[in-house]
Amino acid sequence: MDKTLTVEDLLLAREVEEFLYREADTIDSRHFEEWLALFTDDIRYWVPIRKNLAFNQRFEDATDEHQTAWIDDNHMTLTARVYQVMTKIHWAEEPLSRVSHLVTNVLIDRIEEGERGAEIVVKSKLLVRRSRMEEAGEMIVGRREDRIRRTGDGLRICSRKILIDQATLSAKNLSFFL
Amino acid sequence: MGTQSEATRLVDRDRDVISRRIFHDPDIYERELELIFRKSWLLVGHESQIPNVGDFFLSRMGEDQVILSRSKDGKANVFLNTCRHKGMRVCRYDEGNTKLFHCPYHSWTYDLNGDLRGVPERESYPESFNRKDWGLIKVAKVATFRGTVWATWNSDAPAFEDYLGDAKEGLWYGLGAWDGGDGEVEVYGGVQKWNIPCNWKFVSENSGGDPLHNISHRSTDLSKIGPREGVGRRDPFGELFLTATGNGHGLIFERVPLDKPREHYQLSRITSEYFEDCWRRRVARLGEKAGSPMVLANIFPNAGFHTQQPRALIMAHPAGPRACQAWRMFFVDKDAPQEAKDFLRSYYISYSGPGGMTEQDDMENWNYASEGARVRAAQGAPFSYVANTGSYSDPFIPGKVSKWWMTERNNVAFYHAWADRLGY
Repeated sequence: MDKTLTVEDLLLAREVEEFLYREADTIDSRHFEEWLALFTDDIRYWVPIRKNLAFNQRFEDATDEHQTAWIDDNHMTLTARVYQVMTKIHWAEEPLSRVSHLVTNVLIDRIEEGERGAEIVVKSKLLVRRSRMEEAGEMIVGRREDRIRRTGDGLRICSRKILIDQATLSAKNLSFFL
Repeated sequence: MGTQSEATRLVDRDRDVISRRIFHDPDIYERELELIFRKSWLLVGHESQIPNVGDFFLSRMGEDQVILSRSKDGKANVFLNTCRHKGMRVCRYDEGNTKLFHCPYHSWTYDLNGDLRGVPERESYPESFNRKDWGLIKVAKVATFRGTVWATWNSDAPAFEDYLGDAKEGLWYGLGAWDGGDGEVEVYGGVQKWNIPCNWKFVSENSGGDPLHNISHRSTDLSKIGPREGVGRRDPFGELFLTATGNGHGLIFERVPLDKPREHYQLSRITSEYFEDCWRRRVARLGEKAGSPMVLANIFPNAGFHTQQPRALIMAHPAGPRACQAWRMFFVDKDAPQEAKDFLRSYYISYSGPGGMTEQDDMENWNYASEGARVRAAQGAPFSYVANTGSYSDPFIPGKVSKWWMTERNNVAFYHAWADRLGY
C-alpha cells in the first residue's frame, strides 16, 4: 500500500484478473480439458482443512503440508479428476452439477523468483455455488493464493492453495472443481 | 413396536429383506440413539491424537460432543462437553493442550479428568454443594485397543476385547504397522468432517460388507488413481473373503500369495521399498497367516476401518434419520520414512473423503438411497439383502467365511444385531 502503482503494475493486475476470470468461465462452462491446460505440469492444487483453534493459533488454523487435507492434487491426480468426469459414469457428477465460481478481491501480492521463472503470487476470494438435480445446492466461500507463471502459451497456474471458511464441510462431497 | 409382525416387517430374517422405514423413521432413529448408541462401544479417537498429558481432542458419541483428554496419570478420559451448571460447551477448540477446561458462561472449571475444580463466588453456594457431585458427565467405560480409543455409556457393556470377539485379531494387525509386529501407527493431523444427507447405516454397510457396490467405482478404476502405473484405484489385490464374526461386526479379508514381492506403491520408490521390506518381515514373522490380512471392517454400530488401501478410521456420526456427520482420519506407520508418509497421505485423500475420487460416488449413492428409502409409495417394497454365496471354515479367517466375495451376509448379520438391540 505504500508504493505508488505504475502503469505496468496496473496492466499486470488487469492481465491477471482477466486470466482468473477466464479460468472461472472455462470451468463453469464445463470445458474441463481446456481448464486443465491452464495449470503447469508441476501444479500443486491444495485445499487444507481448517480447525477451530485458540486465538494464539489463529495464523496456523489450517492443516500443514504433511497433514490431512480435503484435496492435495498434483498434475497426475488433477488430470485423473478431469478424466473421471469425462467417463460419463462418475455418478457424483453425472449428470453434471451446475457450478459458478465468483472470483473477487484479486490482489497481486508479490512476485517471486521460482526455480522455473518468476511467479506472480495472487490472492483472491472465491465463492463457489454448486447445484445438482433439483437441489438448491451448496455454497463454499474461501480465499485462494495462486502462483502464476508466464509461459510460452500465456499465463499458467503452478500452485493453488484454497482455504475454505468452514471446519466442518457443509457439502456432501467435493466432486466439483473448487 | 416390538411385536412379531413389526419385526417381520422391519428386518425379515427369513427372506433377507429389510424395510425402507429403518432408514428414515424418526421414532426408529430415536430408539437407535438410545438402545444402540448409548449401549455400544463407540470409537472416539486415536491415542496418537493425544500423546501428551493435557492433550485433548473433541469427538462425538452419537449426536453428542465429547472431550477425549489425557490426564496426569497418563490415562485417556472421555466426558461430555457440556457444563454441569447451564450446559454451555466447556471446550471450544477441536484440539489442543490445557490444564483446565473453563466454561465461558459462569466460569465453572474442570480438570483433565472432567472433575469440577472450582466455581467463582464459592461462598454464595450452600454448604451442601459438593464439587464431587458436579463433574462433567463421564462415560461408563473407556478402552484402548491398538492405539484406538473407545468408550461406552453402558456400565454393563462387555469388556471391549470380548465385544470385538473374533474380529480382534484381524483388527489388531489392521491397526498396526505394515510389518505385522508391535510397531504403532499414527493418525495424520487434521480430521475430515463433513455432512452427508444420508442415514448413518449406509456408511456402516459400506465399511463392513457391501462389495456388490464395487461396480459403482468403475469411473475411478478407469481414471487410474492407484499408487502404481496403470492400476485402477488400488494396487492389484488378491481374492477377497467376507466374514461376520458376531455382535454385528462385518470384516473383509484378502488372500495374497506369500512367495512373490507385492510390487505395491511403485509411484514412490521410497514407499515401495519400505513396504516391500515390511512385507518380507511380516511373512517371516507371521508365516502363512501373513497372506490373509483384514482390509475392511465395520465394528458395530458405526466404526469403520480401511486398513490397507487407503488406511483410515471411519466414523459416521448419526445426525438425524436423514443425515450423518462423516469423519475420516488417515493413519500410517509411525516408523515410515517422511517421504512415504507424504506419498501415502496424498494417495489416501485422492481416494477417500469428500474430495476422494472413489468415495465421492459413495456419497452420491448413500444420499439418493436415503431419499429412496422414504419414497411413500414404496414403503411396502423392502430392500434386498439376499446375495449369498455360501460359507466355509478357513484356517486364517475367523467365522463363517464367504467363499466368493459378492455376498451380503455381513450386512444381514449387521441388521440382525441391529434388530436384536432394538428388540424388534
